[in-house]
Amino acid sequence: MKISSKLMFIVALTIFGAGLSIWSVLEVSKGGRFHQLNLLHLKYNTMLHKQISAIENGAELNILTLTNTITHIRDQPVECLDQVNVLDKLVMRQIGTIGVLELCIKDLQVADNALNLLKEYEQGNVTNVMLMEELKSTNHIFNEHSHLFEEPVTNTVSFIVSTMVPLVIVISILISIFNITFITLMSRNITGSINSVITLLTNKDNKENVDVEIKNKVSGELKTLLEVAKNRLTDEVLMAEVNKKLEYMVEQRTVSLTRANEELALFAYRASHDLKAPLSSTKNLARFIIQDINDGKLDRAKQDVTKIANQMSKLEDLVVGILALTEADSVDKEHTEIDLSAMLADIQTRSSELLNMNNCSFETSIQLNSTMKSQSIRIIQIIENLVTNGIKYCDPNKSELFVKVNVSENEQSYIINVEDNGLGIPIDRQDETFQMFKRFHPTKSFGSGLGMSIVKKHIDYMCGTIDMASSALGTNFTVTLPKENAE
Amino acid sequence: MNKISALIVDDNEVDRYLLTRHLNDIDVVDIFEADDGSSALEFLSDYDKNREMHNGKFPPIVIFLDINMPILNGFEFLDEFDVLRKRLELKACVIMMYSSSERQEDKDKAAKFDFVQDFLIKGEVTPELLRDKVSAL
Repeated sequence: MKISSKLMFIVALTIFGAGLSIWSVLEVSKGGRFHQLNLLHLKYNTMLHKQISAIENGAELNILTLTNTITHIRDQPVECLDQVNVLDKLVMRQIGTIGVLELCIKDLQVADNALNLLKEYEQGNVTNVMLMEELKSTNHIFNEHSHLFEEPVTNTVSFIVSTMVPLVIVISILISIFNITFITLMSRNITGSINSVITLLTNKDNKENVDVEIKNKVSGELKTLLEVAKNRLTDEVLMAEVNKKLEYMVEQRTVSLTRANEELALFAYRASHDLKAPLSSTKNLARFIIQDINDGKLDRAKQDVTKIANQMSKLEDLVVGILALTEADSVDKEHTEIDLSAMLADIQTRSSELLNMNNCSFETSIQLNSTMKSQSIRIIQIIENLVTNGIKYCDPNKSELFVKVNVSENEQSYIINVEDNGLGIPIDRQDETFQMFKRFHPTKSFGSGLGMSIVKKHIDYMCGTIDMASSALGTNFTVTLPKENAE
Repeated sequence: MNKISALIVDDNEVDRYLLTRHLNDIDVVDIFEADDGSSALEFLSDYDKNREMHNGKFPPIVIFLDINMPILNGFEFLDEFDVLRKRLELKACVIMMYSSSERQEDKDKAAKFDFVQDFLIKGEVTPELLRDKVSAL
């Protein structure tokens, strides 16, 4: 039961008690009013008696005065009957004083008869003697009624005083005791509930059970309050967590955006630097050639023309590299079946000139249980870049130069291994391997310096990894690419 | 001006060639070349041997130094050279940066060394400019 309904019940009981008290007071005062009315009845009746005596002693018979007096007398029984309600009638019937009401009715009839007689007299239907006789008898009856009225009224009042008042007092006391007990119990109950909730919530040991305990032990508004508070707190905690996550995400995004911006700025700088270099060299070489032709030094002019051709192919490589690097972002992401042996044969064909020039051998081995499924273009570019790097940076001081490609697999990944016995990457520069525009062998630096960046970018896009082992004995790259279903 | 000898440190063969020809045009003919900061440093460190071998031409009066080089880049070379020049008789030797970088931060970084005389930008070098710079030495 809700606290508010309990309180409403107490308020209703109190109102009932107070109402009962007021009613009993009104009843007692009603008894006083009855006595007062009887006195008035007697007073006007005495007035009537005097008027009758005066007429008998020779005074003039004034119909109007007599009618007035009797009308006054008639008012009291009327008021008496008005005052009495159903409850009064019930009490009076029970204690045998209901006769009072009959007395009033009789009094009323007598008064009405007298008023009628006065009218008849006026019209000359009744004689003076007859009128006087009747008036005297009326006067007498009124007097008798007054006497008869007094005792039952007194009895009724004293009954109310002696019976109803103690009853009312007892009921009021009972109601008060009930209210006090009820309120005490209720407040104790509320305090108890609040205390047990406080204990429940401060107890840190049984966090999981708090919900169940509250459900079982707490009821009414307190339960609602706890539930609402809990929901509110949960919402706030959730909100705080969401905000924290969002802040973290924004931070992360900002960091990666800043990094991307820095990378882009560096790329632009390096790219323009590397693009500009062969151009300005060519410009100067062309001037030298003109000078040499004018001076007749045609051999030197020829050499310079060769230099220009080299510069231009360098520029071409660079532009192709930059394009490949840019396209690495937008390569077709479909995983398709790859004919690996055909792909490796193509790479060998494309590299044949380079292989012959460096007197380098190319070996491949494939250990796959089923056809490779991956992003074809990325795989080509990864293998081709690693292979051509291996050939380009071969070590002419070693015999039997080779580049070996091995492709194998395990349950989750494809493993591509490219091994050479070339120059190797200087140990203190190995961390720069995948940076753009890096070349480690000045005498052989005819690459764009972008190859390894392209490789790394493709591997990153495919969520793979690349490991490198490099020394003066050669270099070994191991690329691990997760299979499509394992991603 | 005939007395002036130079060292060109640049990994780019063509750039070395271009600068050599420009220097020849202004009659600087005693020119050493190095393809990286590391080999240039080795060349300078072999002080006594080279002094004997290149009579009167070693140590070079001016070093033209590229920045972007594979093993020991221009700035790393400057750090090493700063130590070396105090140990060996290289105090008369000045450096002119010879780079295609036009970045102010590179220029500022180079200018921190008091022996760096100038910052030449590849492609903007002409015999006239070189003549002015070299005759000021």
